[in-house]
Amino acid sequence: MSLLLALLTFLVGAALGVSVARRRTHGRETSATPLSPESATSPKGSVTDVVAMALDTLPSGVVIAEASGEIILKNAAARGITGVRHVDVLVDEAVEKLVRDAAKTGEQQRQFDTAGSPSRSFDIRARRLDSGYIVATVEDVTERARVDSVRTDFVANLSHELKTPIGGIAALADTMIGEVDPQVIQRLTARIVDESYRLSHIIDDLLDLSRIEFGAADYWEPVAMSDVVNEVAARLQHEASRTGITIQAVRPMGVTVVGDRSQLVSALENLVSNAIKYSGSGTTVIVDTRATAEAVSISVIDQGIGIAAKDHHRIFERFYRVDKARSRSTGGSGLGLSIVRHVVSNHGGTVSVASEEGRGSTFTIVLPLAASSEPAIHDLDQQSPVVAPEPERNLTR
Amino acid sequence: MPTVDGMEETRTSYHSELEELRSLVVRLGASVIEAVPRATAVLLAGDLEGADYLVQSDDEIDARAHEVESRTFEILALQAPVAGELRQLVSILKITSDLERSADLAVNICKAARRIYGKEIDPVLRGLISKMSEQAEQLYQAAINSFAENDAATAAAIEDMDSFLDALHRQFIQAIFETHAREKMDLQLAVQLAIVARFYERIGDHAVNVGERVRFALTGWKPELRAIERQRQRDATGEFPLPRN
Repeated sequence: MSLLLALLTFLVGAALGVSVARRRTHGRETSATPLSPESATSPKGSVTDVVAMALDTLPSGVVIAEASGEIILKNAAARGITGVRHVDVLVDEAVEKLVRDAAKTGEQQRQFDTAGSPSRSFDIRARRLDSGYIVATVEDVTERARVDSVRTDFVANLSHELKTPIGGIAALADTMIGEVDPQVIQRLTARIVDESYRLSHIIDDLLDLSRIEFGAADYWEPVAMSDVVNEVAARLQHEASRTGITIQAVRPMGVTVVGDRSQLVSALENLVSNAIKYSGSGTTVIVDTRATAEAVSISVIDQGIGIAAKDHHRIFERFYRVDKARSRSTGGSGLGLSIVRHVVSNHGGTVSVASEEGRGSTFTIVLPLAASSEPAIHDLDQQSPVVAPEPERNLTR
Repeated sequence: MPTVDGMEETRTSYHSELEELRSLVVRLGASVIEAVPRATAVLLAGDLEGADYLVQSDDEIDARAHEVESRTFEILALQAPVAGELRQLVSILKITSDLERSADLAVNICKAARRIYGKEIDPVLRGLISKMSEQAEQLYQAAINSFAENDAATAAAIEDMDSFLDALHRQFIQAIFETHAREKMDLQLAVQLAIVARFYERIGDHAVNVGERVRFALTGWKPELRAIERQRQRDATGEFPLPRN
């Protein structure tokens, strides 16, 4: 039983020994000021007055019903817990059902979820008092449910991401035992090496993420964003060319951010790398940089497969995969966007996504500029986009 | 002979019954609003268990619709309402029919999800399905809010709001052709998705109907009045459209 419900059990038991004005609700909101003329009164109001007013201050919904299940009181929160009519109506119905059940069994609890916009989760509890009255509480636990889901998914996804290459290595090694054909052994060995690199990549990313999460930076310095964009474009040019994708980047001359250069490169590289992975051949990935007096925004725009709206708020979680089936073919550790989020946060900035399934995605990082930064680009649109030069292959990440 | 007090008591009971009936309609509406995104989630996730649950839940919606109709008939028979209250009760009968039919369409989406189970839907089409679902849900939210709040202005706006859903429907059909032409989708899936798009479009039309019933209840306006006026003008001028050969 929740603490709130226990407290209410006591309060309601004490205060509603006095009568509560009986009102039929008929689906209408019932005021939490239920008074009968004979209620105990004081110069500042009756006991039930005070209790009703106290209940109205609670963020959780409180509903009191008679033994028959008929609701006689709702506090302010219970009269409209979300402010969206149809959601409130559905919650009302769930509460009424639980109250009826509690009248028979003594105590009931359930989580109630609504779909659509807005999708919400509620924890509803009901308990029958000794007097026969039933007290129910309604809490909006949407955020708590989201955090729980993130935690559960993280453990499941981490296990999956680590287990897959380890399982592969074990199976391949097992096959090698007793194998005498040198060509087969060579092929199996090459695959074991691939899987080992994949595992190593995931662990590297995890360690990077852990370091970034604590806000640790190797070396904070003024970083020219043009260098960051150039370096990322250069690193990924080969991968883009291989898949028939053009990277178009605007160099932001004279824009400086104080931060960790390697972290900033890592963040932008993750975004551009994702854009390449999820775009079709013949498309263009644009790295568009714009600056104001206070901030610089870097947008990575692709024409790829896009992301459904329902996934937008989850893609920055560690190991979250929009399409689990596709994660294997696209590679990656599943930590990229989580790294981006933490890097940007460390630098006092924000990262956002605008995307539609099948229409491409735009990820935008906004970072505050260094105090001494004087953007030389007054209108970035006038700059001619440049194709990043052929890179030196960088295998450090 | 009934006393004055007795008559007042009867009127209070009558208005109380009317309010309760309206509350039941709002509850029925909330269930339908909820059914639309649930059906969409079932379709996009290929959730057979969810589909089964929603198909069975439709019985509850049917039972509720039946209760609303029975109570409405009862009030009509026993209270002999007139003017605004009569319009309101007649509207409730029609609104209930629209709501019940919309819930059936949500069930049809679930059944389509069963038929295309295991087939991958192109991302462009998935995005458009999500948009159509959101739009249909919003139309119904506006319709039910206009009913609950006696808001004729919102009710009148729903028809215009529906044009966005109609445009999405056309866009979706075009996208089906394009995806099919790229040989990324077999014909069976294409046909099923076209039918699904039609279901969303029809749900939107039912929401528009609800808006029109609300307007009628509040103001006496009916969409048919426009057609009647056009017919009257033709009668007056003698100008009739010629039949096509």
